[in-house]
Amino acid sequence: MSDTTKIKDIISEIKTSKDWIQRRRSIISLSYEKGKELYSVFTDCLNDPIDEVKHAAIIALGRLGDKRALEELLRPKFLASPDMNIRWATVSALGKLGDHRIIADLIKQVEDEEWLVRNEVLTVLKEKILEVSEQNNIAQARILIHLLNINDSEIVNMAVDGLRKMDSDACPILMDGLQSVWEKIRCNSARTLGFIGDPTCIPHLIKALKETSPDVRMQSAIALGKIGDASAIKPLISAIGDFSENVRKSIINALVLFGKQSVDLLITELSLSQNKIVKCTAITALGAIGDKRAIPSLINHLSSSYYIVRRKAIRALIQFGEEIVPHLLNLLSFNKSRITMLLNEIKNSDDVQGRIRAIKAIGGLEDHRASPLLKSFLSDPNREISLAAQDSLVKIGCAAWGRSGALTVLGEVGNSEIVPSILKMLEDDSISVQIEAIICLDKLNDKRAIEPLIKIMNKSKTYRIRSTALRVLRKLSEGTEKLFEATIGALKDSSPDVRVQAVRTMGDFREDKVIEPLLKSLSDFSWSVRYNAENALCNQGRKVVDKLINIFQEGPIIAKKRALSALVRINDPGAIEPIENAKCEKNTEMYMLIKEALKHLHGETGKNKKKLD
Amino acid sequence: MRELNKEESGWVLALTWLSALEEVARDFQGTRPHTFCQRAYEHATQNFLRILENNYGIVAKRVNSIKDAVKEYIKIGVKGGLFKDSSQFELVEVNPNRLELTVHKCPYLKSCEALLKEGISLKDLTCARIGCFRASVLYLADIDCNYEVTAFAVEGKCRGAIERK
Repeated sequence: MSDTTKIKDIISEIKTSKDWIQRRRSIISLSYEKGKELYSVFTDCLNDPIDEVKHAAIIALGRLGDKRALEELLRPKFLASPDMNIRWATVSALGKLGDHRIIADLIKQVEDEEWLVRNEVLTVLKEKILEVSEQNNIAQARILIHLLNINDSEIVNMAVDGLRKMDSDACPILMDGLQSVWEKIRCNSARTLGFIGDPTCIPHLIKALKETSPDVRMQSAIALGKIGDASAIKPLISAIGDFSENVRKSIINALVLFGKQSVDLLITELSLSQNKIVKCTAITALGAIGDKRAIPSLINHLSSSYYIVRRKAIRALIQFGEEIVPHLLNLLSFNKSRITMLLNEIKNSDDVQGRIRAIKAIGGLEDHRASPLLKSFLSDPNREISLAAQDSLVKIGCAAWGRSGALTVLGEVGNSEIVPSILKMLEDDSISVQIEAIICLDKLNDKRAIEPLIKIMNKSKTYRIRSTALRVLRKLSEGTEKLFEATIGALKDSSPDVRVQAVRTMGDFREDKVIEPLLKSLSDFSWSVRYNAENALCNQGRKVVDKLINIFQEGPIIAKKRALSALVRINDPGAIEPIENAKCEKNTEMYMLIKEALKHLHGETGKNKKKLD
Repeated sequence: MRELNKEESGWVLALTWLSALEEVARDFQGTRPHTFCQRAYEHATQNFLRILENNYGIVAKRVNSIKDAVKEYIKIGVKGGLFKDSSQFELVEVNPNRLELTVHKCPYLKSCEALLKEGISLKDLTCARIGCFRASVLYLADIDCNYEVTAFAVEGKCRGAIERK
């Protein structure tokens, strides 16, 4: 039998068979054949009542490659069929038959509920986008714009690449894209415009900086930075107070790309604006650009009354490295002139205006010594006096923040040459400045700081200063006799924080002389001190076992517990017997602790367990 | 544009005021705002318990230990809608003078995260949650304590300790 006869028989079977499985099988076997007459056979089968038969017909039409089938297959009954197989086969067939024009029809299918269909749609779309990209035909740009709205980053990136290839020709369409109702299209249009870099689109991107969508604003800022036209600097700076952090970051990155061109405008904005967000963004940008012209302005903001502005200024200044040091050293001065007359005027003058003038003058001097007196005037019945005192206190406080911030920066970028200047700051009247000076000395790691730190530790009335100084001393003068003496004194400090630092420091010594003070600290009323004393004693190893046993047997209950814990940690077998022989009432907390301790000691030493109960 | 429901808007308002208060503390006290915030949490906790008692009849028991005070505060907090349930917290009494706490899924996590990014050390985190627990101890047990955060967002959990002064 010839092939033609065989095909005719199969066609007849398709048309006459009542068995749908047979019809489907026949369609599939015929789908590998070629011939114009097959088109009508397959399209007729699209009306078959059985879905499986329709499915086979769609596959066959795809394989046949007759483009007339496009019109049939684009009907909603196939693309929106309840049968997933039909939808999948239709997408696949359309991919084989259609050109780029089917992209618009397939976009809707990207959201199909079945992942197999979605996957097939994406595969077909990718092929079609490649075709469009290769043709590089501007008439097809609008099709690519539609694809910018798809939730698939690979497709979007391919569409963006396609549009990039079209270069400036695609700009008018992309500018239209910036007006789209779809946020993703607006966002990706801005992004693509940035890649193309055509300056004609700058006004449109500037307008998009005021968009409602943060993503669009962010992409517009990035695009403006990439294009690099100086006309965008001013609008970008006007937008640095954006509520979205991501937008602000993009604006900073864009301004950094402009480099020194944007410095003057940023400095102006920084000095004029009262908005802390604007100030923070401008400071970050100036720090990243690293132009020397910004240094005075950044240093001024170390004294801002806003904490986050001060922090940003510190970070920005650190980026300048060592070159910032001389500028900051100038800031490390505080008023030392006699202010007694002014203070007397404030306290005793009968002339209200004279007192106010004196209060303002003290504020102008930024002299921290006047703070206690000024604070007492905050509740003065005369409103003018209390307001003047308040203003002066703010000025004095902010100046102290400035010195404190300068010390933070110097700690990061300074070297041993600046140590004498930092040591002077230990005499500052502000506690914050003193603490920051101590931390700075810690970072500079210079032995010249040891004596002054011991002095301030013994002299200061502020426990934070004493504990910070001791912490730094522990690092700077590890194991020295001087440190030992200072630490012995600190063990009697009224603040638990200082005592904690002291016992930690004691833990660094290996000499026997620290054992007695540490054993005493096991009875300290602060849990943290006792706990740290236990740690420190554990560092001494087995030589403290006998003394710990003594405390366990005769010490106060709080010390007993810590001694027991230390004995378990040192893990000396000699501790087992005294612990086993300890007299303790059953079911008390101590009894449970002893039981637990023995369990550990037996388990780890391998000695036979003696039953407690 | 969606509208917030009452619960959400309540939280937005609370978080807004809390972050404003903590920001002011840092403006005036720099990286060491503990004293300021500790006092603010005392006022907040006492006001919360007072309002629940006076306006809603939810009365907190006076207790004698740090742990009992925190447990009572959590119980009242659940009743008052401050906490979803008590499983958000784990309490370990190291000894009668020290309580260690673990907080799961803290709503203030983001604000603390921002602070750590801004250079505040873990020790100087003021932690509204543990700070208010400390304040509840003062109010319900009349025990004045210190508190500190010891771990931040480790596997979604924050840890801290309250210790008698």
